[in-house]
Amino acid sequence: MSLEIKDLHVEAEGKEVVRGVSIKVQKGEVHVIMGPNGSGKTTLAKAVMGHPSLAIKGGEILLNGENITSLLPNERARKGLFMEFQNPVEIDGLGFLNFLNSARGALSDEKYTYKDFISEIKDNASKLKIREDLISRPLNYGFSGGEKKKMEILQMAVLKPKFAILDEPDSGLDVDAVRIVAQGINDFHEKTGAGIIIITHYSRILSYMQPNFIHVMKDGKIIREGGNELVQEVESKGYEYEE
Amino acid sequence: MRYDEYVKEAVKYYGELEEENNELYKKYVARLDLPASLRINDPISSKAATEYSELLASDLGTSFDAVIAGDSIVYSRAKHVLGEAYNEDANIGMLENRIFKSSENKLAAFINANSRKTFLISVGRDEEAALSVLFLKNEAPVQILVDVQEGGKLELSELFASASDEAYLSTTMHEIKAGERSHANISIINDEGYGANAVSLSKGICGAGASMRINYAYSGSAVSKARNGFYACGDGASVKVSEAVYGVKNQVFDISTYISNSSRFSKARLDSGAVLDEASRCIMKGFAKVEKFTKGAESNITERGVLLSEDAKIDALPDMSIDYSDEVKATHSAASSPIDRELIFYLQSRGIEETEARKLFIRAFVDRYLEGMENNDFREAASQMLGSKLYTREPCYTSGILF
Repeated sequence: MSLEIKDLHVEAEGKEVVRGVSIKVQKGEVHVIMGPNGSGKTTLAKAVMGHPSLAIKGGEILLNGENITSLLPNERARKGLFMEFQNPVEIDGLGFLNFLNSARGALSDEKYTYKDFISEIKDNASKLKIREDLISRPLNYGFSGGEKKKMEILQMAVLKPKFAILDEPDSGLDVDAVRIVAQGINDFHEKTGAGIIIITHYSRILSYMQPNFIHVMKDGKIIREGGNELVQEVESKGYEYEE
Repeated sequence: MRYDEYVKEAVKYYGELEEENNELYKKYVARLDLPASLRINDPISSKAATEYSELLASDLGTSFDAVIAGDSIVYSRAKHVLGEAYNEDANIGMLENRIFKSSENKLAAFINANSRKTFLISVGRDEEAALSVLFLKNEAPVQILVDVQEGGKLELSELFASASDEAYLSTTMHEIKAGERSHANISIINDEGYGANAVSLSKGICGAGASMRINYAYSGSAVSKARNGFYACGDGASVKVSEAVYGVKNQVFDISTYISNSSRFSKARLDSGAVLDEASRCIMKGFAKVEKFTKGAESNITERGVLLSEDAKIDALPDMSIDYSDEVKATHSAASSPIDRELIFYLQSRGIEETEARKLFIRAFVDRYLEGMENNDFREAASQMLGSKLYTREPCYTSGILF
């Protein structure tokens, strides 16, 4: 099983933001995309998930060999793709449990009891140190940045995708929250063996994880690839590489 | 006044409440879409009304304590709370102390003159009552007086449905009094059929230390015109009004709600939300008045609209007048937009199809305005009714019912 991004070119509002990116993630692998602000990381993540406002100008996205480039976001999700949002939306009035139940029903034909469903949510929420009252509230409504990030990881744990793209799961988190979120990602990875792409600016979250590959993205392109040593390099030198 | 005279003359003055002396609002007034000739429908038979109410209750998963068809109580198991009085009976204390005076308002004058009786809902001092009533409407004007006395508590749920699918003018008037330290939670769902032109007046007075929560859901009728006024009169009185509107086809809603603080540490809040599809239109006028010498008063208006089609239109017009600026909090805001594309993308990324995602969002939006309904069954029924229009674009249960 794999998620393969092949020579992807993406335009946002008429401007080419992603300029020929190729990454292949095998099941069980953890990849990291690092890069400065404006390098196209979030656009890449949204394009892989199928954001309708982005235009794919070239290349393709393959999930287990199947070309999913023209599929709708919900169709991609049904095939096992998940995206953690950098800025998750708030929907007042839509209860988190109702939402997650709808999502789970849409993603899987597997039958489950509501009792087991709630139990699974509470179990995962406890590990992520999410206050229990938050799961009874409207989706992300009035949540702090850190709470939203944890709720995204909680969704991932419950929905169990085959491949997950995590767009800055560490942004806006305090030191303890970064550790907790990293642990949540690790737990999910160990349980499911999913392939994961983590997008981040910072190395702190990576100190709690064991990524297989590091990709450095700048100006819409992957400019360096390698192992964990690249993280140290970025830490010491920043993103001022020669292309 | 004869009915046809009313249609010709009184309707055009309708809505000119004493408080609505607002030049801006006068520019935004929906016209009623009345046929050339109107007739008073034949009285609804008790048998038909009872059968229909049972069917409706079953569909909605709720029950009604009373059913009023036209201007007759056809069923009631709440005689201790709900009564009726013939208007010529001058000995009824409640009738002698009407909030609406015929001299103040043409519609009130019409209803006072043309309705045979008044429905009285009363809760005694320190007593508690819960009541749900189905109104099967026709042209017969309905006036309802609600009186919650000192320390009393009332949970009142009203559903207005059609007794006819023919064009008719539906007129309703509520007068609500909440005595000191009392609590009145009143939910009113309008789901009359598309033949209805529904016009209504509501006025509520909230006494010291009392709380009044009014929850409206406007779903049915070709044209809905409402003029509501709620007054936090006693020290520490709290008035909260929520209005949910869901429009489809060519439905028009013209809703004007006035809230007032006239006492210290009083609270008055109005939250209005409309979801408009196809060529529907909503004029949403919320006016807040903070009177003099109201230390510690709080007044808030929010108006929100979601437009689901390019032809749908909303005019959200919040306004405020503050006569006392010391130690008073007052805010108002309005916003309307199509559904945010990012919200839909988010829900789709979780596997939910776009159509379902839109429905989830709309239902969530509307439910925010229904959450104040204390009767859980009724709240769920209201949510279902509004939600079902997402699927059918028809009033949920009450369209096309003939007696």
